[in-house]
Amino acid sequence: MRTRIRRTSMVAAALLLAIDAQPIAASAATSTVGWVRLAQLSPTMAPVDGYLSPSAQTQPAMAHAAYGTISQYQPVAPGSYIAAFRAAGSSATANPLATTQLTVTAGQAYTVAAFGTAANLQVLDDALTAPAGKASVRVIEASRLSPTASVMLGTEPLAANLRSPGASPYQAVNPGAGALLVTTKAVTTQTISTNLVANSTYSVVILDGAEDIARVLVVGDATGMNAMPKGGVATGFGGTANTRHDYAPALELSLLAAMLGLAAIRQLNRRRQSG
Amino acid sequence: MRWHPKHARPHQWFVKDGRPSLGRVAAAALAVATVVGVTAAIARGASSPAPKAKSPAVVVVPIASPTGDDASASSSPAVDAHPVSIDIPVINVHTTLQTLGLDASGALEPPTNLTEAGWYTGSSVPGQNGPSVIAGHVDSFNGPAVFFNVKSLNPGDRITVGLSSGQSVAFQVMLVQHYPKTDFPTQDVYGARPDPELRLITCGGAFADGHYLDNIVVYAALAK
Repeated sequence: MRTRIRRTSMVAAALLLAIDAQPIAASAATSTVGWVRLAQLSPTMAPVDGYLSPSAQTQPAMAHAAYGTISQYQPVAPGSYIAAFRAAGSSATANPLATTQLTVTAGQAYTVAAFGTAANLQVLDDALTAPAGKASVRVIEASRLSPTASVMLGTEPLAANLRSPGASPYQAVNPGAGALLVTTKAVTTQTISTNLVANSTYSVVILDGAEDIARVLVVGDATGMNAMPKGGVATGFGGTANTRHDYAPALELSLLAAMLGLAAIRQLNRRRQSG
Repeated sequence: MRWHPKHARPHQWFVKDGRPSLGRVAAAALAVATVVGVTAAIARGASSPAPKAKSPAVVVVPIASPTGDDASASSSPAVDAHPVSIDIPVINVHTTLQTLGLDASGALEPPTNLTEAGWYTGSSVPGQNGPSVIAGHVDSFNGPAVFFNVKSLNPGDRITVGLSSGQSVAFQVMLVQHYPKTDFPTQDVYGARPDPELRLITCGGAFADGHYLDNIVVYAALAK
């Protein structure tokens, strides 16, 4: 028991550290929207149509979503929303299986998920940024057959004995090719090769699979670039700049000079001839 | 009849009493200057990029059906298709795209061609998640270049990017921003995004020592 307690406290320390390195909000200055995606991660819920309201669309934001489905992010105006999951194919006004309210802030992203065996929805805060040059990864445990999971990326632990349903904090890791080691039921370890893009964020989702082998999804949350350009771009030579006119005035001045010169020469010639 | 200044006099309207009138010469000069100026202006206008009349049928790339399998591990932009053209009808931009890399200092290389925009190969393929970066020149040494009118784009304006796969992706402008190059918001422009977005970058602001002091950045998201 003592060892278990120690391990738990180590895990707690790791989680605290990870929380410390939590995402910086994407610039509010350029984000006039927030982003919401819907996910059906409940192993006991039948396929659903997921709605987000208010919405300009009458179609479900996520249709016929079976267990393990995660929608694309949808940009939405900041404000208050209701997410509702209804049995797949039912009308948009049918009684929902589960609903939740969420408040969307500009520049923030959220995953609204049916999670666990209770018929309710949870709102996860998603990270949009990773520390410079790193990738940020979290683990979402959504398996019933494998109630706990431990995940490593190479030798870096992402989650240890994470309980289902649950999500770990994001953790900064080195980008590039790597091996994800997913251990469920404390016995089965599977290796999944990944190629994480720097300056990007990911969720590793653990789902029920066949027999003892969990199904593992690696989902991109926010996608950045391995090589972010430094600074701006030199995309102009000044030909239309307000502050400089080195073309036309030069021409005009030279013509002016030529005219004056011509006049002067003629005047001189005339004097010479008449004199 | 032998030529004589007396006879020539009436033809030289700027000559008064046998001598060029300062006022008349000045008036002539002014007229010439005006004509030259107008001609130059016309020439500049004419040198703006000619539309390459090409309007591909817009096929919006299906917003990937989410992840029943773990294919989405590849949210990396490394897919086969790459952008080959950009159309911004409201400002009459229709051009092919060259590819851009980074220079030795890590800055984005400008396009080598003034009438063609360029896509940064390290950014997302348009339609894939994350920001896709397309840069173009605002002007040459003596007239407008391909992105001259980008500064006049407004939220809601359409931008269509053609892909090498034959598909095209429709975006709409969200925001147009001016930034001093000395204070360029790298994270805003190039930082990660959860959805497919587009950035158009060109120059603007004051021109000093052979450089524009500002960059103009257009933020666009998938058209609704």
